[in-house]
Amino acid sequence: MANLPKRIIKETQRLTEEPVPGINAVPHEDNLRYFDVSIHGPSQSPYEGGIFRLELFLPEDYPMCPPKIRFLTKIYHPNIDRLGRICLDVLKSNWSPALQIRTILLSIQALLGAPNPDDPLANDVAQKWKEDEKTAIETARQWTRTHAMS
Amino acid sequence: MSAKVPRNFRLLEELEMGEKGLSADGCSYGLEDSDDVMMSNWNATILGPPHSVYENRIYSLKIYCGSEYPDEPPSVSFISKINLPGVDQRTGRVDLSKLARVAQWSRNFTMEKILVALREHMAHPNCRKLPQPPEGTEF
Amino acid sequence: MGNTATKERSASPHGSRNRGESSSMSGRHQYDSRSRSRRDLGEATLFGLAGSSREHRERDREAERAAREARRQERERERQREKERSLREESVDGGFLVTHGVYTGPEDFKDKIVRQLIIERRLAPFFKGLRDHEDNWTDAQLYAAVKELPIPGPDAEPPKEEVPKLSEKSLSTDLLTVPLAPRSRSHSYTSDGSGPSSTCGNILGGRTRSKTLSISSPRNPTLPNTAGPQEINIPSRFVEGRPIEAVLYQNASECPICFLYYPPYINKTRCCDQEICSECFVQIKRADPHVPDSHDSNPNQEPSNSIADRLVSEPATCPFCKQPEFGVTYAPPPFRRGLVYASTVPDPASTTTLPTSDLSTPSGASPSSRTSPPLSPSGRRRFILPPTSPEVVTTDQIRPDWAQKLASARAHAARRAAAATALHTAAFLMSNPAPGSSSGGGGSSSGSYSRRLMRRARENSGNSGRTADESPSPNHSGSRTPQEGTARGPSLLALGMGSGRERERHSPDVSIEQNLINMGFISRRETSRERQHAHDVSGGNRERTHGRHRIADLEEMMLMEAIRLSLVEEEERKKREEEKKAKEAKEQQYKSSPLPGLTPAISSSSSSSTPHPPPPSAALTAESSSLSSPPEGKGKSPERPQPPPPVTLNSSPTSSSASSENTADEHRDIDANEPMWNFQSLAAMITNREGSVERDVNGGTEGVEVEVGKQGVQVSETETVEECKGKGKERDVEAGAA
Repeated sequence: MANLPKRIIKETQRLTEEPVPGINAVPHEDNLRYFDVSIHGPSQSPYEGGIFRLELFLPEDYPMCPPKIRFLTKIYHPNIDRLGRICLDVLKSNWSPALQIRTILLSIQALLGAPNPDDPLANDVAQKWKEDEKTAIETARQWTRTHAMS
Repeated sequence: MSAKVPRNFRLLEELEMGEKGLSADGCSYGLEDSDDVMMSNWNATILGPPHSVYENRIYSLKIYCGSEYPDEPPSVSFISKINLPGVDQRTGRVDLSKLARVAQWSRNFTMEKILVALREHMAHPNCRKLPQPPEGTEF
Repeated sequence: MGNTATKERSASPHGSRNRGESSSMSGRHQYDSRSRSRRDLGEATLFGLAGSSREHRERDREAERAAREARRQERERERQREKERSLREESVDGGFLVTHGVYTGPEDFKDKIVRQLIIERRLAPFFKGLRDHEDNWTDAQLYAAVKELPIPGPDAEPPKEEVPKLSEKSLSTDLLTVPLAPRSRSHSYTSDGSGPSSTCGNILGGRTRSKTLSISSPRNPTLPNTAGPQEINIPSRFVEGRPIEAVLYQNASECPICFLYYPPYINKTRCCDQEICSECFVQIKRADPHVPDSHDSNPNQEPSNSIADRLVSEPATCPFCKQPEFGVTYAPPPFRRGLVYASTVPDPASTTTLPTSDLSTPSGASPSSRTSPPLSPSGRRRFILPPTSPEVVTTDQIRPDWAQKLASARAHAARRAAAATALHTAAFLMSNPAPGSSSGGGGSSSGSYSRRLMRRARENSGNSGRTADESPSPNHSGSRTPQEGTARGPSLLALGMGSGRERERHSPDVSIEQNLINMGFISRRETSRERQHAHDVSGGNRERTHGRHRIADLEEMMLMEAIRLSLVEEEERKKREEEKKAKEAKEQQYKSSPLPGLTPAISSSSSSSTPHPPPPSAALTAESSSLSSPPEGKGKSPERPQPPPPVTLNSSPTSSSASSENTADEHRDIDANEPMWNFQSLAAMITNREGSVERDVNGGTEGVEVEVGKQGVQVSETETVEECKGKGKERDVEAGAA
C-alpha cells in the first residue's frame, strides 16, 4: 500500500463508494493493482443475463499506460479472443490518462452491447457475425447461458 | 517497483513475446492449447547449440506453469530424448536447480530465460560431448 | 464507442489478422506440426551459421550491454544527485525545478529544457502534490501538509518569517532581488547553456557540452562564467508574511490525472483549458513509433510499403479532448519567489524576452496584486491557443529527440525485416518444389527439410502449378537432391542450407563471390521490391492474399525465429567485413571480363535499359520457370557456356537506388532473364553500397511484407539465395583447393 499512487487509491475508493450499475471491481488484498471484475451483460444484447468475470491490472506506469484487462469467462464476441483479450481502442492506442478504471469498464460493457465485427480480434467469430448474424447471436446467447450463468 | 504483475498478465506478456518472435536465439515457445484461458501448458523447442552433440537437432519440451507462477518456477520437461545432466533420464523432467542461471528462481525469470539457460547448459563443456540417444526418440 | 483494432504487431492491415489468428489462436495444431517437423535433422544445417565467432560476438554484446547499463546508471545517479540538490536549493514560485516522483519510471524528458521553461515561467514548476487537502485548513495545516509533517490542530501557529529584514527589503523594492552568488554554468550543473533568450536548440547544444564537462570536471571553477545566464534567487518563502505554502495551497485543486492537490497555478491545456500538473505533463509524450491503425491509414496505400517506411510518430494528443499537438500554458501567481534569470529581474523591460511576461508582470509593476491573496487565474479561456503560440509549451518541446527516435525505430525495423527476409528466402529455398515435378511433391526430393516446409512447398506448387509444369529445366532438379543437408557453410552461406547442388554452376572467382554473397544479399531485396511493385501494378491480388497467408505461416515458424537474430548479426558483421573486401576485389579485378552468371538479383538492380533478351513469356510464367530452375540464369557455369548479355554501363552507381523506384517495366527484365553483371556495374554497386545500405535494408523490409507472398518474388529470392549459397560453396571449394 505504501507506494500505491494516490490516484489508484482514490479510484478504488470511488469505485466502491459510487459503484457503477452492473459493474463490480474489487482489488486483490495482496495486490492492490489487480482487480477482480464482473460485468453484467447489457440488456437487449445476447449477453443479457450473464455475469462475466474479468481481471484487470494497473501496470506500473498507469495511468500513463492503459490498464490491462481480459475476460476470464468464455464469451462469444467478435472483439474478444479465445484468451479473453479485448480489442478496444481505448485500451490501446486511444488510451488517455484522463480515462479511469470506471470509464474503461463502461466501455467494455458498451462493447458487449455493440459488437463490431468489422474490427475483429477473434477472426472466426467476426466472420460468422458478418456472414450470419442471426446464428452468431444465437451462439453468443448459448455461450452466455453455458459459461456466464452459474 | 510497486507493481507486481499477476500470473495471467505475465503469461500473456510471455505469449506475446513468443508470438512476436522476440525469443532468444535458438529457443521458442507457445501455448499448447490456444483455448486454455489459464495458459498453463506450453510447448517449447530448443535448437541444439552449435559445436555440440546437440547441434542440428531440435528438442521439444513441455512447460507447465502452475498457479503460483511466476513466484514459483514452472516445471519443464524434455519430450525429445536427451542425455543431459539435470534431466531425469526416465521422465525428461528438468531439474532447474542444476541450471546455474535460474537455480535461484526469481519472479522476473521467464520461460524464455529457462530455455536459454538450458541451451547454454547443453553447450557447456561438460555436456556438449555426451553420447546421445538416437534422434527422434522421446521420453 | 470505437473498438478500433490496434494492430501494433501487424505487418500490414490484412496480414495482421491472418497472423494474429494463426499464431495466437489456432495454436495447437500448428504448433505440433511445427515441433514435429523440427525434429527433422537436415534442415538444421541452417543453423550451421552459428559459428564459434558467434559466441565471441555474444560475449562482446554482453559486455557492451553491461557497459551501457553502467553508463546509464551513472547518468541516473547523477540526475538523482542533481535532483536532490535542486530540491534543497532551488524553487520557482514556491514550486520546484525537478519532479517529486509521482511517476516512478525513468525520466526521458530533457530536464534542462524543462528547467529553463520553469524559470522562464512558461511551464508551472513542479509543485508538491498533496495527497490530501481540506478547504478549511489553516495556514499552519497547509504548511504542514506541504512539508509532509503531521497535520497540526486548527489553532496551531504557522511559521513566522525569520528574516524580516530580508522580506522588508524585498517588499520595499518590490523586486525581492536578493542575489545569491550569481550562478554561472560552470557552477551550476543545470544552468549551463540556457539563457533566457536561448532557444531549445541552444539548450541541446549546451547540454551536450555540459555532459562532457560534468563528467570530466563537474565543477570546474576555471570556466569563464560569461556564457551562462545568471540566475538570481529570491529566497523568501513568505508572501505577505504568510508561508508561501499556505498562500499557494489555500485554494488547491486536484490534478485530474494524478489526483493530487496542487496550487491553482498549475498548467492549463492550450486546447480545452483543463488543468494539468507539470508532473503529469512531462509524462505525456508521443507514443513509440508504430504502424498506424488500419483505420487511419489510407486504404489505397501501397501495401508494399515496409514496416520501416510506415512507422509513424504522432504528436501527443490532449488527454482530455484528444486535440493533437498537446500543449499547455502557465499563468503564474502574482508574486515572485525563487529563481529568476538575472537579466529579467533588474530591468522590467527585459522581461519581454519572456513570452509570458504579459501574464506574469513582475510584482513591482502591480503592488496591489502582490498584496492580494493568490488570485485564481483569470476566467476560463474560450479559445484554443495554437501549438506555435509563444506561451504554449508542447510535449515535443521537452522531448526534442522524438525525430531521432523515429529514425532509429525505422532503422531497427528495417534490420529486423531484412533478417526476416533472409529467413523467408531460406525457407522458400528449401521448400521449392523440385523443378519439373508438377505434383509439387518434388520438394521432398531434398529429403531433408521439414514436413511443414514440404507441405508449404506443395501448396506453393499447387498454386503455381501451371507454371511449374512448364518449367524447362528438369536437369537441375537432379542436381539439387543429393547433398541436401550435408554441407554447412559458415554464416550467411548457411542460407544455402548445406546444399551443394549448384556447385558446378558457379563462377570460379572466389573473392568476387565473396563480395557477391553479400552484395547479392542486399540487392536481392531490391529485386524483391521491384517485383513487388511490378506485382502491385499488374494486380497480383490473388497471389498477394495468398502470400499473406504464407507469410503468416512462415512467421510462425520457430525455425526461422531461431536464426533470425543471428542473421541480423551476421549480416552486419558481413557488411563491414565484406565492404573492405569488395573494394579490394574491385581494384584487383576491375579489368577482368564480365563475370559470367552473377546473381540475377544484382543484375536486377541495374537499370532497365539493360539489353536483355525479351522474356520468353508472361512475367508470371517467367518467374515460375525460374523458380523451378533456379540455376537458369545465374548458373552460367563453365560447362554451360552461354554468352551473358553484356551489361550496360547503365548500372551506374545510382542504379541500385534508382531501381528501387522502378516498376512493372523493369519487372520483365528481372523476372525473365538472367541479367549479367560486369565488373563495372559491380564496382559501381560496391561503391554505391555504403550509401545504399540503409535503402537496401528498407527494400528488404518490404520484401518481408509482401513480396514473399508472391510467387514471383519468392522465386527471385530463392534464386538469389541459392546463388549466394552456391557461391559460398564455390568459395569453400576453392578455399579447399587452395
